[in-house]
Parts: sequence; C-alpha cells; structure tokens
Amino acid sequence: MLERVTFAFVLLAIMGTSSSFADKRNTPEVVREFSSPSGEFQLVVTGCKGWLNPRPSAQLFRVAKSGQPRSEVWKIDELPHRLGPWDVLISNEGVVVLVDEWVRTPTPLSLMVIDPVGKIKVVHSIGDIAKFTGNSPTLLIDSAKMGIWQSSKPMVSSDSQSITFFTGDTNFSLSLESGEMSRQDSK
Amino acid sequence: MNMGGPVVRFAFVPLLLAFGLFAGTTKAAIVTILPIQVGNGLGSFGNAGQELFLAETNKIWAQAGLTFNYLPFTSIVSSDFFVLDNQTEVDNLFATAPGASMTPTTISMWFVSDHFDAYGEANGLGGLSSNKIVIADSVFNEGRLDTIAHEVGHLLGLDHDDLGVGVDFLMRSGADRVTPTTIGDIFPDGTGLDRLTASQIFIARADAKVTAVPEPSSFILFASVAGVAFLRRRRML
Repeated sequence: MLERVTFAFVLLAIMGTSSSFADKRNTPEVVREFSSPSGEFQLVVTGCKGWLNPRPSAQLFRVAKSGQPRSEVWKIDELPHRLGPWDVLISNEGVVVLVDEWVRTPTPLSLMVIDPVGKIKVVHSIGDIAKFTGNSPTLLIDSAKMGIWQSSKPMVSSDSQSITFFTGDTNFSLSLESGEMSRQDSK
Repeated sequence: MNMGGPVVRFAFVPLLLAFGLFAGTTKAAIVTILPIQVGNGLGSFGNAGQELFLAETNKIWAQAGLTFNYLPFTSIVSSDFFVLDNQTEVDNLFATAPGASMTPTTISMWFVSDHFDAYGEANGLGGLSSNKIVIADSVFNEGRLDTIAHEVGHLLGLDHDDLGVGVDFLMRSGADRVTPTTIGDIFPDGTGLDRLTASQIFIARADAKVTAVPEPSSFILFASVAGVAFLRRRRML
C-alpha cells in the first residue's frame, strides 16, 4: 500500500514538473499606452505583430480638453529599446522618460529623457547610474525589486520638475529640464 | 666502466611513459554542435546571418571548463518547421529530427524563423537522448547572447529551478533572467551575469555529451619530449 502511495506521489510530481526546457520569451502587449498624471499627454508605444521586429515606434499625443480628439505631438519611428521600454514616465509638461528596455539586461538605455518636442535630451546607462550612485551594477541588479536596478517605485516631484529614483540604498533625482542626475540623501 | 648511458636510458623510458600518461589525462572538455538552418522553400532560412554567439557561449561555459566546437552549417527545407506555431510542431521536429547528426554525443541545433513562445527549446534534461535544440530568430533580432548557452545547459542536465539559481544565473528562466547585452557583462566580468553554481558545473561536466580530448599544449609538450628522446637514442646508437 505504502509503495502504491509513494508511486502515486512520484507520478504526480513528474506530471507537475514542466517537461519544457525552453528559454521563455516574455513579450509586452503590442500596443501600450502611458499617460501623464493630468492625462493631458499620452505616449503610445507600438510594436509589430509577434514582435518579429523588436524595435517599436513611439507617439506622443496631447488631449487639449477632455472628450476632444487627441493630436500627435511627435513620433519616433523606431525606438532603440528592444521590445520597447520597460516603463514610461510622462510629466504634465510633456517630458517623456523611458526607463530600461523590456528585455531584462544591463542596458545602455536605462534612462532616456525626451523633451516635449520629441528631441532626445539625454541617455543614461545602468553603468552611469551605478557610477553616479557609487554602487556597482552588480549590487544594483542584486538588490532590484522593480525592473533590474530600482528598489522601489520612482516619485515625480510636486512641481513636476524632477523624478526621484531609488536604487540599492541610494536615491537620485533626474531633472526633467536638463536630464541631469543629482544625488539625494540616503534612505 | 661508464654506467651513465644505460641508466639514463632505462630511467628515460618510464619517465616518458609517465609523462605520456599525464598528457593523456590533462583534457579539455568539448561540446560538439551541428548547426542546421531550416528553410521555408522560398529562399528564407532561420539564422540567415549564421550567427552563433560562440565567444559569448565559450565565455559562459568556461566556468565549467567547457569549449564549444561547431561543425559546418547544414540546412533542411521544411515549411512545417520553419515557423513553430505550437508545442506539437516543436515535438514533431524533435521526433523526426530532419538532418540531425547520427552521433549521439553531437548536439543537433535547428535554427528556425520563429518559436511560438520561446527564444529556444531543448528536448530534454541530460543524457545522450537529450541532444536536440531549436533556436528562433528572435535570439538574433534581440541580441540575446546567452540563449544558446542556456539551452545547452538543459541538454547537460541543468534546470531553471536548480538550487541557488538567481536572476543573474544562466539557467534562470528567460522570463526573468537578466541577460547580457555585451560579452563584458558575462561572468567573471562586468555585472557578472550567466553564472553557474558549483553543483551545476559538476553535473554538466559529467554529462555523456561532454567529450574529453587531450589539451593541445599537453600534446605539444609530449611530442617535444618524445622527439628529444628519439634524438638522444639515435645519438647513443
């Protein structure tokens, strides 16, 4: 009897184990929309079906008044981010910050600041962030709880002029005007 | 009476044999792969650029002392297998294995245009029957440097949930593994990605598909010593 029970457990364990030895491809939705806190600006990131081309387009729209049709502010035909950005933050002034690539990698595109007319102002790599915060990229990755280097959700300042990012045990602020990073007090 | 000549001669033969034995036991571990491009019959083939990420794969597996040896590319034409739309098609490819190597220790690697939900897939977890891999073009479109090394890891007996496997380890699932963008981020450099645990290294090296060959440096040294011995003998005679 005991042998039968053991056999049944072993069988269940085998059945419960995935027989697939695949390197799973985790793709985002083909169309993703992000909004500014006021809802005035919307960024639409559009990939192709099946992500056969991993580089999507990005369009910023402005909704002048609630209920009215939105108008295109700018468009980038092909973002360098593989499968698009991992996250997007938009200020009420229409400054767009693309955070990381969807592909989980220590990317040279950790922070990309795009001004309200669609000009890329600055790009910071994970190496830049590590150097700026005085940490190693390995430490940032090991302590990440969001994406591959953030330890908690970023916060937009009340005047919408900067975003505070948290990484490892350090904070830093990203100016939406200049795209430059500045140190914050440690947590 | 000079006894030096015979003594040296008698001492030299066992010394040479011992060194030959040493050279024979100093081995590099090799994994051999047959790359097979799958065509659709309309002129398109998987992995059109014949990229193999060999330097990256070798750097990752250097942790286990393994080196990869690719045989020349071959190709098959199959509209069924050009795009793998579901698991049944993947399983059929592994079952029928068109163009596969007849040598069980050689890994057959099919390059297809697309796989329905993965960058690549292996047909098993260690042992001689686990010697087949499919790799999709998304690996090359997205510059996924470690997928080939990851799938070979499965064939060498390693799994996603092996003890101690974090997000910066090679065998972590593709869904949440942190993958390198450059070779400089592969362990032991940069961000130290694609690590292997000590037990994974032990398991992988013990797999039957890992073949050992004497290291070239040992061979050259042995040949040199044998050559010197031969010349000395000629002079003595």
